[in-house]
Amino acid sequence: MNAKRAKLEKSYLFFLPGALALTIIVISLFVFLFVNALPAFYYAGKYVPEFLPAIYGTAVVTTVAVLLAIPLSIGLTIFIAELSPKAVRDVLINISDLMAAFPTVVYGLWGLTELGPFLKSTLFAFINRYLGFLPVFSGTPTGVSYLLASMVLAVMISPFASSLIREIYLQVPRSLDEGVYALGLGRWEVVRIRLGFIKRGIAGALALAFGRAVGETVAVAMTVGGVVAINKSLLSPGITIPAYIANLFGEAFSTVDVASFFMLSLILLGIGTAFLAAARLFILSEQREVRTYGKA
Amino acid sequence: MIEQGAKFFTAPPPTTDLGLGGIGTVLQGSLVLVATALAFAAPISVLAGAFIAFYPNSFTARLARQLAEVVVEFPTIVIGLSVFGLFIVDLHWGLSALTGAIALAVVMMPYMTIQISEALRVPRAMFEETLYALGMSRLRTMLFVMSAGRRGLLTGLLIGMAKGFGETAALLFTVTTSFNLFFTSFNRPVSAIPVLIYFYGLAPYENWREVAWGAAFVLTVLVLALFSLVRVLARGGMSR
Amino acid sequence: MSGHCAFRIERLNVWLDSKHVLNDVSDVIIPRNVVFSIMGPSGSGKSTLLKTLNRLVETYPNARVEGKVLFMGEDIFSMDPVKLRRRVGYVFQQPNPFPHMSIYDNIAYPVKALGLAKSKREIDDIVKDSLMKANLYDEVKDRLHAKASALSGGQQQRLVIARALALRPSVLLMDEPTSMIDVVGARKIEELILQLKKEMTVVVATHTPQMARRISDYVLFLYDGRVVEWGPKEVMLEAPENDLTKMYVAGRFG
Repeated sequence: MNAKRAKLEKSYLFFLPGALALTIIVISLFVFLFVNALPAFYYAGKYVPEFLPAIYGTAVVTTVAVLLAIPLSIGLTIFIAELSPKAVRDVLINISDLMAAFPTVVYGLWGLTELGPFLKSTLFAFINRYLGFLPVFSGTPTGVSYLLASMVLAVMISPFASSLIREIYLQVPRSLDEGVYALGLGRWEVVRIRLGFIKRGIAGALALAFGRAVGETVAVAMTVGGVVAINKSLLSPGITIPAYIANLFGEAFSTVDVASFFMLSLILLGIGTAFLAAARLFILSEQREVRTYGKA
Repeated sequence: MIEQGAKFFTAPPPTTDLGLGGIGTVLQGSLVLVATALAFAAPISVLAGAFIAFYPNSFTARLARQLAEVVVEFPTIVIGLSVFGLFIVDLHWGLSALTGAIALAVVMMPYMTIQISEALRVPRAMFEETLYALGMSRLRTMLFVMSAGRRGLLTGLLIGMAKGFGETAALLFTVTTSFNLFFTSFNRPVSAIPVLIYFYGLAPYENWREVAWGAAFVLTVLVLALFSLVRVLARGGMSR
Repeated sequence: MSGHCAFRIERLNVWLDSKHVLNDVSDVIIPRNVVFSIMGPSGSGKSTLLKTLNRLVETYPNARVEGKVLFMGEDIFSMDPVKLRRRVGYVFQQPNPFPHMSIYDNIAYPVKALGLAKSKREIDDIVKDSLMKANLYDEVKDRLHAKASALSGGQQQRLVIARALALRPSVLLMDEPTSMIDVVGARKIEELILQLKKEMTVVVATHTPQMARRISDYVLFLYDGRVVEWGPKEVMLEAPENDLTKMYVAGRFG
């Protein structure tokens, strides 16, 4: 069928508006962001120091969250892929997917009202007592903190990361497994070797999780404390970029500093996108490796 | 895991400051917002998704797909911020149900579009050739494929709805924080469940927090219901 | 234990997914310190036979095995399969080293995991020793910590052999070890096989009579899951009894 003629067909025109609308909306979104952020760029020197606590907070909370998510997500993957019997497996996968799509406010609420107070008197107090000499764990633990936000965030991103890792894990070629068995090694060694094989894929999944986690607003805003300052202890409250925007935008609105918030948004976008792009690279090189394995 | 305040709130009475009221206003608000957002987003998503599924090689389709994938990962607060900036500030619309719905729609659209385009791929591959061989026109074929794939479409819409109910950040600036108003018309402000949870959860009052939990419970039930529907659809949709 | 042959197979039947892959393999004796070739066209069941000898076939979900196999006089099915696999090594058709690990670690890891050596000194010795036995040491001695994926196909296969040798097996099973390798690499591996038979028994699956001629002492012709005949190389390749064998050796099919 002639491609050109196809373009003028009824059906093409029928569906086209939808795609166009989407495209236009998205592009105008970008344009709007940039345009409004422009004025702020001139005064970047003035605004950046103000945003520093937020940037610091985002970096800290997200990094710790991803670190915590590593054992959680890998553990979950192995549990689902290797340890659970067939019937349980599907249920677990469904629950895991459900958790990944759950409204984030509820996670935030739980973290704020249940987990926070609980940890404050148990785990955090423990850490503070024994490791309090380290600046990272100093100060009296409060009900909200970087660490709390990180933990909630870790719980939120682990199901997602786990499902990504699971997909890659199951694609490992069988010849690798057989090689391990043939050496007289057992199941755990097969798991270890497999995980080593997909190292890049795991990194990619985590980078992806990181990219999404930076933008998480509500759950973090509720559990990090909203204190605009750079605190060196993980046990004290702080602020992250999206939480900053959420909390302070209302006030700043009346002044002309609006543009600065758009600039901050762009910074946030930049961080997120950078990680997402990195994730894509990781996963691509991973695919290449899997496909060419075993071919001399 | 979810402990809620001992009271169940399904009642319409408005929330008050110190006593325990209900979450009637926000419940209604959320329903209105999601319904409106869906009214905007669904047609666009379905058309766009179908377009991408049927003409995967065209420039527009590839562009749309790429953009959708990028925006889907966007921090939703940025989207809320932008909608606020555009409609509320520049166009001076002020807070209203409409702005909230628009923000939600923008959040829902990319995700639903991608879901739908994926959901249509399989039926398309299965049926397209057969239908052409029978001499059906392109348009008819596509409509057929869409009807064959309606389960997948519905799934996409349902998940979009679930997201709409749970979405908080996008609404923070586009929806009101005074929770006592019922919905009157589209030009007036309105509020939503997750926003209530956010603000009341952070409040220093004990009873407010309980309200937040009650709302969280309702929200959870709602979302679970939607997801169960999705699960039911998925099971029924397996055809040889 | 002296006096026992390496393997003795009686009435062996194997099913994979209800397909009868090996049919009544009987009266097969694999002597020690020889190169024993299992020759046959693709799909005749050679891999399955090898994988039965080290009980690797049992890791397939729908496998069924019946019959008797004696390894050095012991019934392999009443042994711990893990222990069996340490005494019976396996080399696959496609080289499958651990690509994300270094050459050194490819050998060191199983050694450590199996508790065969503890100190770094011991492990270093074993790595060097195995690589030398596999005729690979000279080529990689300067880059032991380079990733295994950087090696050529033939080198990877020799690495896999070294890895298997590090466990000091008394038998080495090789499933068409050269079919995926370039000619030069294949030659080196064949030379290696001839060297190895001094220390152990080598059982090689191959589909070319030419290769069987070059390396074996004994040849078994397997066709469609059945043993057609087996015997010393000279007999099998020059004057076989069975017509089928004659045709195969002459290159008339397969």
